[in-house]
Amino acid sequence: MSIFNNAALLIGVPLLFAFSIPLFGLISKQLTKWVTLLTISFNATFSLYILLAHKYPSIVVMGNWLPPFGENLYIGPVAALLVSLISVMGLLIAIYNLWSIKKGDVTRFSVLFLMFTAGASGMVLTGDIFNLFIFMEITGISSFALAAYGPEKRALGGAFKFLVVSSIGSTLYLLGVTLIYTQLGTLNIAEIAARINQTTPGLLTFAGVLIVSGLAVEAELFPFNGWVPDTYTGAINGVSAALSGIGAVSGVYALFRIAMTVFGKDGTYVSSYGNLNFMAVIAVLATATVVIGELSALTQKNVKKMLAYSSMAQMGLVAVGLSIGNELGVYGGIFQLVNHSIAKTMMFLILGVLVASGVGENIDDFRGLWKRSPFLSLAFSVGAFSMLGFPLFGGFWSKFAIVGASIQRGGWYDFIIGLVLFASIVEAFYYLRIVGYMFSSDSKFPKLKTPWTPTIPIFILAVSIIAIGVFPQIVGTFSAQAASEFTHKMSGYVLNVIPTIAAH
Amino acid sequence: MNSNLIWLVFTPLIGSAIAAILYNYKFLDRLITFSTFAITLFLVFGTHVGQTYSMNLNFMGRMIPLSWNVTHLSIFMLYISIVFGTILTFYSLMDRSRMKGFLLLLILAANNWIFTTNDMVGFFFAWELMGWASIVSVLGGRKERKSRHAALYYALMSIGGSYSMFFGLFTLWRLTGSFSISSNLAYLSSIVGVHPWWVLGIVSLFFVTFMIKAGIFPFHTWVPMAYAYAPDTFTPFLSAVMSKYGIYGMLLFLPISLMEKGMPTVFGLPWVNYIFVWIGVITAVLGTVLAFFQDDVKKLFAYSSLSNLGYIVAAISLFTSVGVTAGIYHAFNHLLFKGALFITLAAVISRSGTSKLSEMGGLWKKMPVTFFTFFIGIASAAGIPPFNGFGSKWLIYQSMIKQHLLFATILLFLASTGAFLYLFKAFHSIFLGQLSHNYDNVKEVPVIGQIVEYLLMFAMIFFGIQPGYILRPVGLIVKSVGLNPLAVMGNGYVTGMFSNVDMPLIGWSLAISFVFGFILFFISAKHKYVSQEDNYTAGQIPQDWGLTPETYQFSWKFYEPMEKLFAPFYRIKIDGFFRGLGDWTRITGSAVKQVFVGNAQIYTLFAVVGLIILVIAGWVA
Amino acid sequence: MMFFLKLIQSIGVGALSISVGLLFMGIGRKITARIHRRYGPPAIQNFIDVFKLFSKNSISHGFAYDLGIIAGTSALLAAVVFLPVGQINLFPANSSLIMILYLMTMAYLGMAMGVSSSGNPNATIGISRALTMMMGYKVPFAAVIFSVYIFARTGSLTNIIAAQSGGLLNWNMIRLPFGFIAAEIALQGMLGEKPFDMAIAPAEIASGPMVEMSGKYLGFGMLQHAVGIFLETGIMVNLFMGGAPNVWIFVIKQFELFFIALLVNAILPRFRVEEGVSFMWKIPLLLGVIQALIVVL
Repeated sequence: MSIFNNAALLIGVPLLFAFSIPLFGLISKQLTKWVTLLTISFNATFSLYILLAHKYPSIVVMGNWLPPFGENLYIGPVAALLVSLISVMGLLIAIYNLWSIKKGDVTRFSVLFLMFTAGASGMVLTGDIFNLFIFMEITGISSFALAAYGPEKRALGGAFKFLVVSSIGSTLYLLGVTLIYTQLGTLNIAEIAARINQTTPGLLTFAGVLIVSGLAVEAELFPFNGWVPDTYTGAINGVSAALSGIGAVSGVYALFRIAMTVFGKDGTYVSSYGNLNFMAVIAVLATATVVIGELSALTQKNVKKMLAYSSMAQMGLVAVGLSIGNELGVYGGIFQLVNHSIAKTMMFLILGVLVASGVGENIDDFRGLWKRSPFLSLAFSVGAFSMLGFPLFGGFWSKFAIVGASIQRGGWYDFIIGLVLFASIVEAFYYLRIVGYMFSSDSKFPKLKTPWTPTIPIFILAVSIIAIGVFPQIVGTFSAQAASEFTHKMSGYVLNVIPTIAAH
Repeated sequence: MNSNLIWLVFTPLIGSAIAAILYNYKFLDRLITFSTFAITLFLVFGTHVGQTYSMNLNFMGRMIPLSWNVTHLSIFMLYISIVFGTILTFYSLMDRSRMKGFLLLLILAANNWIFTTNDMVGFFFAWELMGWASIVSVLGGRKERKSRHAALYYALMSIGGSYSMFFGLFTLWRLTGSFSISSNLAYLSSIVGVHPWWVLGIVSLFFVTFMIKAGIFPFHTWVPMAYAYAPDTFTPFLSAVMSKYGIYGMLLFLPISLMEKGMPTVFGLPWVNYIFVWIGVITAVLGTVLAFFQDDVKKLFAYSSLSNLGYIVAAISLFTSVGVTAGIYHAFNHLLFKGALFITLAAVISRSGTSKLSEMGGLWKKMPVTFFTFFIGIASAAGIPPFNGFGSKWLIYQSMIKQHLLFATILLFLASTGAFLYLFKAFHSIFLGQLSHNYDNVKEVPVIGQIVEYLLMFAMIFFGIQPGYILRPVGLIVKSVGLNPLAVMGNGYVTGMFSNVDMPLIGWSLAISFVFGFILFFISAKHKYVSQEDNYTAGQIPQDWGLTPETYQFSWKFYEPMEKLFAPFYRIKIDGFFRGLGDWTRITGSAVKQVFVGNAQIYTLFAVVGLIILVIAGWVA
Repeated sequence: MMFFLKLIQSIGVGALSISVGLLFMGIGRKITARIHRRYGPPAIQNFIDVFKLFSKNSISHGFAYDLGIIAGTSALLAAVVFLPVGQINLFPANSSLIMILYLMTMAYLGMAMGVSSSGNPNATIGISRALTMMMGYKVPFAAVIFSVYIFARTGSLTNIIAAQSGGLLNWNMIRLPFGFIAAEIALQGMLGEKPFDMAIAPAEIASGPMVEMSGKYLGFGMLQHAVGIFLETGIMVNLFMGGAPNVWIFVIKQFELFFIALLVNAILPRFRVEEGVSFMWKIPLLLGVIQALIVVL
């Protein structure tokens, strides 16, 4: 276990390089992109090694202070899977950025991107709710700046909205954390989790409401997700990809880490302490998010905006899956998180390539794309089909599991999943409409020349979608472990961090 | 353990991957599609009833057993679908429509999986796979815009259907903890006496899916659009094979009705079955009535498919020996003649470049082989003995009469008579009458197409005269679902309840009387051939008033009196319901979109309001 | 041996049907003429016509035309051998009524194909009217035959005849009176007599299907009509009048039915097509449905 104290490098190395990038920038601006790439590829390699060599669960103790007294990182199945996902997505987006980020302040972009990845990794790894806040802020602030990056004016507007809403979120979260600290005198997730029932229920409920609301901002749940469409649309495509492929992952993780591990009460279906069942609250918010997101995307003519709404709706679906609270539901939710991250990242990257080649963002511009660029349109269709949960693509299995878990739970979840499936039909309409446009033959325009650098990540992502679709155990094995961690709060998390603690 | 079952699924998948890579080389794509179909056919030769296979899929955090089980029904469906698919893909080698071979292979994989699987995970996977592959296949018809709309419409219905099955299968899973189809069915059968309403609810979730896929009233609205605007060579598969998936699914669940005790009965039928008989009858009549007035020939035959599917549903819903025999037999017959008809239509459309009946005419002189195939096809479809459509229709009437379902039978008879009307309309408007000068250079289909057409002609006559080759396997299926099979006296007989029909005898009778007819024709006075313009026109010269072959062809408003008669029924638009639902959703979508006003203050307000609501909720709780 | 015996007998039935049909047509012309206070042609005029037509040169519009017109007659002849005619019942195990009805459809299809391939729109309009009318009369007729099916518990004409044995009171005509009336009206349509003769309306569409026929083609047309009369009235006799002990009585019974049809034909004007169909779907269908309800309940 000891060598994995080095897992702190997953956060430390990117941060270190992030701050030293201006030095590289003095040599060459282009060099900074390569530094970013190499740093993140270190992260990716290391996290994949942890994941695949099964070097978890393990805790990383800072300064030899054992938890609950010291700060710690905890690499459980969830963290291992998600940090790998974040790093790999970061790596692929960094490859894309080699090609896409040419003009403007490349150095600063690289700094921000590294910070963003480091922050997101930190959110997933940390075992401390205050550190979670800090990493959330790192992620948040770097993402505002990233979202504002680029020549377009709308980027600024989007970033500003994100900034405002996100600040409110962080504040609420911090307030909630403070309330809990006043009650329990600790910030360690494991310890709070073990002692959560010692708090005053009313106060706990209030703290929970604050925390859930705060985290719902990053997790893109309605009504805290107003920033999503404008920010995603405004940002350059690489950043949109990062926001949906990385930022949202850490956001959802944080939300459910708090709701399921900290506030959670084990049972057949995880519920939460306090007067209010936060799992149910999240379920309702998530359902509203799915329905509103899909309906808003329905009439959208701008593909990028459509993807943004779809992103929001998909995060809602992930949250629905996780909020079911049994192993199958969490399994489905995590699986869906991975699928969505892969597919949406890919679609934003494709959009980036298309926009750079002079194809517009409007749905009409996609007409006849199949003839112009078979690879990109095929990859886009693969992503869309995965979103829709069509078999042979990754999304099928996760949707299958989520629906299965909902119906297994029954009761009011039948209604929730009914609404979600209705929204999915809506989703099918707008995605298949794009696919239909792409496969129509009336293209007056010449063939597109696709640069090879960005096709690498797109190709890898497309292949991985199909690979997951054919062999669901690629992700399934890990998400099953993750589900076990999330649904067994004591044995899955708390006792791994603080073996000596007694359950209360 | 028979691993060839899993190869039935994997071979097409691999073929599909190869074909997809070679998609740009159209001929190679088609060639691989054809060879994969042929290889799969060989694999089916090695498949026998009773073979099973199972494997575990590491999924949902546990081992999910996937199992395969070959029943009589599955082997029958496998044979008919794959043989037809092989013929179709052979035809498609020379064809110019934009059918995508690799998607057809995906459908084949799903096809084999659906027919052999014994677990609902595999069934659902394959069902959805078939769904999306067919949705994308519908794209790329000759009319881009329309085919896109059709594909979307079909997609929404199809996905809606899958979601209904989603609910059904997981509800069963919740109840039994198993995904196995056979054990779930056994469970349903065991509780149907105790909780009939529960069983009814669960089964109807599945039935909605099957009805949508088979295009049964009231979910038939996608059928004409998708059939009409799909690529011409894909439509035969859509109509002949894919509509049968729904029938297959229904046949899986119908045996439960045997156990259904304690439910009220009508005419000796459980009332649910009775309702389904009527749904079938309504579908049959509706398809017929709407088919009269179509000007697009593929749409016309789409409605015809609808009508035939109605027959099948009506027959199998009776769930008596005759009914099920007749239903499956008709499913086969429909596959054969409708497949043949759609293939000839593909040939005609590829040569003439139009699918409008009012723009064709007189093509028999140019495409004689296609003409004869089409002729035998409509004779089969109209149920004329000794061609292949007769036996099943005859059995369907008997099965209905036996249950004293008189009005349903009369309506089915009406549908059948009507079928003759629209079939003749299509026949006349395409092949008979005046040949337009636009088609002076039209040629017969290439040799490959002709081979296929001869083959189909032979099959329609052969299975008409020798129904025993189909009725025997159908008898085995009927036995396997727990009913008494009809006696099969010989290969040539269709054995009914009231009498038998000796098909070869009819064949002989026709052949001999034709010989006499020809003798009389040739020994009597000579005839000479004249051109098509050489008509009786009451002494006038048509060219004087600028009459062209196109204007001299009677094909517009062919059955105008009928149109007047049925006018009141056209006001009922089932389609309108779904469209209304769509419009409503779109309007709601536009309204909901306004939530995201693009103003940071409003978003902040949202967050604050959300927080306040949560706080209040926490307070109250 | 058996085969040849049946073959010879079948040819005999075919010849009988042609002769009886032509004779009926001739008598029909005579009777109609008398009703119209004309003298009329001799009863055997139609035989003379047929021989004359087959010996005249004619024009054709191609192979489909020839084939269709031959099929029109041949398919009806193929159907007529399955009809029990008095004591002659060649294939007693194989006389399903529905089978015969569907086999007759082959003849209509052939005829329709032949005349439509001539390219004369009058012919096609005639066919379209005939088919529309067919839709009209088939429905009440189906109601009646399915009532008979349920009533007699059999679908084979042989057995239906057997079920009516034992005197006049056992005839379906007496036992199923509404059905009989409905079938009579349907028969009027089936025979194409007024008021349901819109298919060949000579004044409107130049005799419709027959417009392009000349010489032997018209001869075939007449033969088809003759066999059609024989077959349709024969079915009615078997269904409602208990068949017949021998051929002569059978023909006489057929003639009774035909005579009624003639009288109606002679005095009524013609319906428009949609009027004809809606009439068929009102009164005869109502009667058929009443009969069906009586049978089922």
